[in-house]
Amino acid sequence: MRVALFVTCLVDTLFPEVGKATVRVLESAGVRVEFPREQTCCGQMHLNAGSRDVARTLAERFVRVFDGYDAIVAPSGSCAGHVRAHVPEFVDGGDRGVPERVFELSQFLVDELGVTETGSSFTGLLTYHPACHSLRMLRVGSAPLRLLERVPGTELVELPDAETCCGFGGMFAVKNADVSSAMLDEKLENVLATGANAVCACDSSCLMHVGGGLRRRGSSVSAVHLAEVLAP
Amino acid sequence: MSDASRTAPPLAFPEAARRAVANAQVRANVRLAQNAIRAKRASVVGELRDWEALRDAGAAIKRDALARLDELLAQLETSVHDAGGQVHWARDANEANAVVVGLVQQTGAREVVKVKSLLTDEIGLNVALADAGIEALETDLAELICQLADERPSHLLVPAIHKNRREIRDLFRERLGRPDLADEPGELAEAARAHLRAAFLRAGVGISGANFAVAETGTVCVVESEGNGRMCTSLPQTLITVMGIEKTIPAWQDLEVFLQLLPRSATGERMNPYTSLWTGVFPGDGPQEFHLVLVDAGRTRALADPVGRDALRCIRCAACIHVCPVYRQVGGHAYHSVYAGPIGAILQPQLSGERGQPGSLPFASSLCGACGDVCPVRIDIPRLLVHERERVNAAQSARRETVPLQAIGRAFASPKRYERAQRLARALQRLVVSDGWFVRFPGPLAGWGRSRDLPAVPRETFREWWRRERGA
Amino acid sequence: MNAAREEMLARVRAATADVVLQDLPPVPRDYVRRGGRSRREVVELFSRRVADYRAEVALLAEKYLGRPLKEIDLSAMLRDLVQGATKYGIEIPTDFMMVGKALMTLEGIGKQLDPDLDVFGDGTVVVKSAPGHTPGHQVLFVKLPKRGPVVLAGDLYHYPEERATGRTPTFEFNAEQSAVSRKKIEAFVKQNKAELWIEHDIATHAKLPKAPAFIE
Repeated sequence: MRVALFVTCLVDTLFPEVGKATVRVLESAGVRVEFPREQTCCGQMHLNAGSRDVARTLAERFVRVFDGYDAIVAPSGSCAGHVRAHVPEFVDGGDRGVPERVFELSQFLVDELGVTETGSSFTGLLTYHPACHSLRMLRVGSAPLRLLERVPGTELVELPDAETCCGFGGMFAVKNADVSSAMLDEKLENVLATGANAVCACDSSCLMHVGGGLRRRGSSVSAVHLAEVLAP
Repeated sequence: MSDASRTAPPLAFPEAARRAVANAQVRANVRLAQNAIRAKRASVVGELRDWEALRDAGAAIKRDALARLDELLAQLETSVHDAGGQVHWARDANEANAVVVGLVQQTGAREVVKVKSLLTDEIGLNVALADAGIEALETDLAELICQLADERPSHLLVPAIHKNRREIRDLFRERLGRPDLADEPGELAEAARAHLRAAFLRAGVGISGANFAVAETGTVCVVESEGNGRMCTSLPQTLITVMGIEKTIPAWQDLEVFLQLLPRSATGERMNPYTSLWTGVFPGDGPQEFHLVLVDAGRTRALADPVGRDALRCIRCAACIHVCPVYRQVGGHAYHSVYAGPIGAILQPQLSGERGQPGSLPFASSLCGACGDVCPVRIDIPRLLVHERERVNAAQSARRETVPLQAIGRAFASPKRYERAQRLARALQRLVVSDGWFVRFPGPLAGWGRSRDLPAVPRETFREWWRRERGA
Repeated sequence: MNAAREEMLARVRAATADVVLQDLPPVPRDYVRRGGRSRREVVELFSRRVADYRAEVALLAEKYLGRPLKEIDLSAMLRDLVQGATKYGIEIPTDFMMVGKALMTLEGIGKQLDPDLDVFGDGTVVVKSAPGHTPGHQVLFVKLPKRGPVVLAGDLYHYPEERATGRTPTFEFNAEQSAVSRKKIEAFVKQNKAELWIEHDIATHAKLPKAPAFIE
C-alpha cells in the first residue's frame, strides 16, 4: 500500500514537529510513508474566505499531486474534511477517486489499519477537544479517543461543552477577533476546569489558537497535537 | 416608534460584536438561555426515532414548494378566495405597508393588535402604521417588553432575551403605571395580561404573520406559546395576515411534518401550546374579513440563486441560533438585522440585496457547522455562508482583504513560490519575534495578538527537514 | 394589485426557470405515520386485541368512573383516554375532544365550585329523541334503583298492538319517521333489557301505582 503524507501548509510552516510525529506514528504502525514534494495547500482557507477560483486551482493541484497513492494521511481533520467534502465538486474532469482516499491520522489508524496502540510514552492528565471540522465535516467519531485511551501513562478527562467551537475559524480569528477571543475564553475556562496538564486535538489550527490563549494567560497547560501524544 | 438601534446606520459585524462582547449581562443571559434550550431541544428530538426521516421530508417538501412556487401561489390565492378571504400582492416593503395601512384605514380603526411577525419587523410595518396615525400594539409578552422599552428584538424566538426580570419590572413599573410591582415572574405576567386583555377586547383589527400557508386549502397556520395569537386572530372583526411568499406549502398533509419539526426545534416542546389554523372566513365566528398579503421583498431575488435559494426553506425555528457559538458571545443585536444568527447571516444579505453592513454578516461565523446539524429542513448553512462570502467578494469594490488572499493563492499554486513564501515569512518575522514567539503583532495580526500568543515560524520547515533527513 | 401579482409571479417563474421538476425526487415520507391502515386492517387488528382493550378500559374505569372532580386530573384523564384509543387504532370524534378540552378549561373553576361533582354521572335519566308523532317527540329512559331500567314511551305508541302491527295514528306528523324511531327505541329497549311502558294504554296504566305512591 502506497501511503502519502499530506502534511498541510500550517503544519509544514509553523508546526513541523507535528509532521515529524505523524511520520513516527505511521512508521510505528508499519507504514512506509512517502512525501510528495509538489504538495502545497488544500485550499480550504481560500474557499472559506470566498475565493472560489483559488480554491479550485488548489483542488485540481491536489488531485494531480496525490493521484496514484492508496491512502493520503493528514494530521488535520479540517484539511482532510475539506478535501473529501469539497474537492470533488471543484475538479472538472474528475477527481480520480483521490478525495475518498484522504484520511485524517486517527481515522486512518483506527478505521483503516485497525491500530489503537502506537507505543507512545506520553504521560499526564489529558483532555480532548474535538475540532469542529473533524467532528462535523469529516465525522471521525470516537477514533481519536480510542487511541488516546490506549496511551499507558495517560489519563483522559472529559472536556465540558467539548463540542462547542473554540473560535478559530480561519480568517475569522482575525477578522472577528473579539468574538473569536470571547469564544476562546469560554473554551479555556472549560479546559482549565478539567485540571488537565494538556489539551489535545487533531487540528493544529485549533491548537494554535487555544495554545496561544493558554500561553498568554501564563498557564502551564500545554496544547498538543494528537500525533505528538501518540508518537513513540 | 424610533430608537437609537433602529435609526442609526447599522454597524458592520466586527465592530458591533466588539461592543456586544463587552456587555457581560447580555453574554450571561444568552449563555443561560442557550444552555437551557439546547438541553430541552436535544431531549425532545432524541425521543423521536424518526427525526431524520422528518428532516428529510421537511427539506424535500420545501424544496418542492420553492420549485413550484408560482403554481402554488396561484392555487393559494384561489383557495383563499373560495373560502371568503381576499388576497393582495406586494412586491416590496413599501407596497406591503401601503396595502396594510389602506386596509386598516378602510375599517376606520386607529389601533391594531399584532401577533409577533418577523416579516412585519422586516418591512417596518409598525412605523408605516404610526406614520398613518395607527397604533400597533405588540401582544407577545417579549415583543411588548421590547416595544415598551423602545428597542429592537434581539432574538428570533426570545426577543427580550437581553433583559432580565429586574429590568422588566422596572420597565413595567414605569410604562404600565404599576409602581409597586415586584420582580416575581407571576406578578409580571399578570400585569402584562391585564394590559393586553383590555387591548384584545377593544381591537377591531388584528395583524398576524404566518408560519405556513397551505396552497391546497387556503389555510394559514400560526404557532405560538402564549395565546395572544389566538386572541388576535379570532377576536377582531378584521384580520390581516402578512406573509412572505416562501411560507407556502403545497398540501394539508405537509403540516404533519412541520408541526413536528417546528416546536421541537424551536422551544424544545413536543407541541406548541397554541397552534391556530384558519381558512378564509366563517360566518358568525371569528373575523368576518380576512386579508392575506403576499410579500416578495427580495425573496424572488434569493430564489433566483440556485445555491442560495435553500435558505428560503427556513421555518424560523431558531435552532441554529440556539447552538451558534458566535451568537452565544454576542447576542442578537450585534447582527443589526431582523434575522440574526446563522440563518440571518444568509437571509439578511440575500433579502436586502445590500452589500454594505449585510455583507459583513456571512463572515460572522467560524463555520463550525453546529447549525447545519440541527436545521430541521437541512439547510447546509455553512455552505451557504461560504457562497454568500463569494458573492460579497465578487461585488466588493474595495478588495483590501481579497488581494492578500489572491497573492497567497498564487504562491500556493506552485511549490517553488510556496517555499519562497515560507522563507520570506521567516525572514520578515525577525523584526517582530523573540525567543520563538511573536512579540509585536503588525497589520492583520493585531487582532490575534490582543488575546493570544503566536509562535514564530521555526528555523526549519517540515519539508526542509524531510529533504535533509530523508534525502528524497 | 394585479400589476403586482403579475410581476411577482413572473419573477418567481424567472427565478426557478433552471429547475427541472421531473428531476426532483418525490418527497420521502418514511417518518412514523398513524392512520396508515385501512378500515378492515383496523378492525382486524382490534379484534385480535379485544381482551387487552377490555382490560385497559376496566383500568381506566377504575381510575376515573364515579370519582368526585377533586380527585381527578382532567388533563391526565384526557391524555389517558387519547393514548388508550390511539393504541387500539380508535379515532375519537372531534366533538368528544372538544368536550374534553372544554372540561379541562373549566377544571379549575369546577373544582372550586363543586369538588364532589360526579363528572361522568351514571346515566340514570336520559332523554331520547324519537321524532315522528311530532317533529320534537322524545321518550324518557329511567334507570330505577330497584325496578330496573324503564322506557316511558310517550306518544311513540298508544296501544300495545301497535308494536306488532306497526300502525300509526292518522294524524301522525310523519309516519315514516315514527317507524324509524320505533325501530331505534325497540333496539334500545332490548339492549338495555328495559320495560317499555305505554302510558296511553289503559291496561298498562291500570297496573301502575298512583301518586303519592311511587316506584323505586
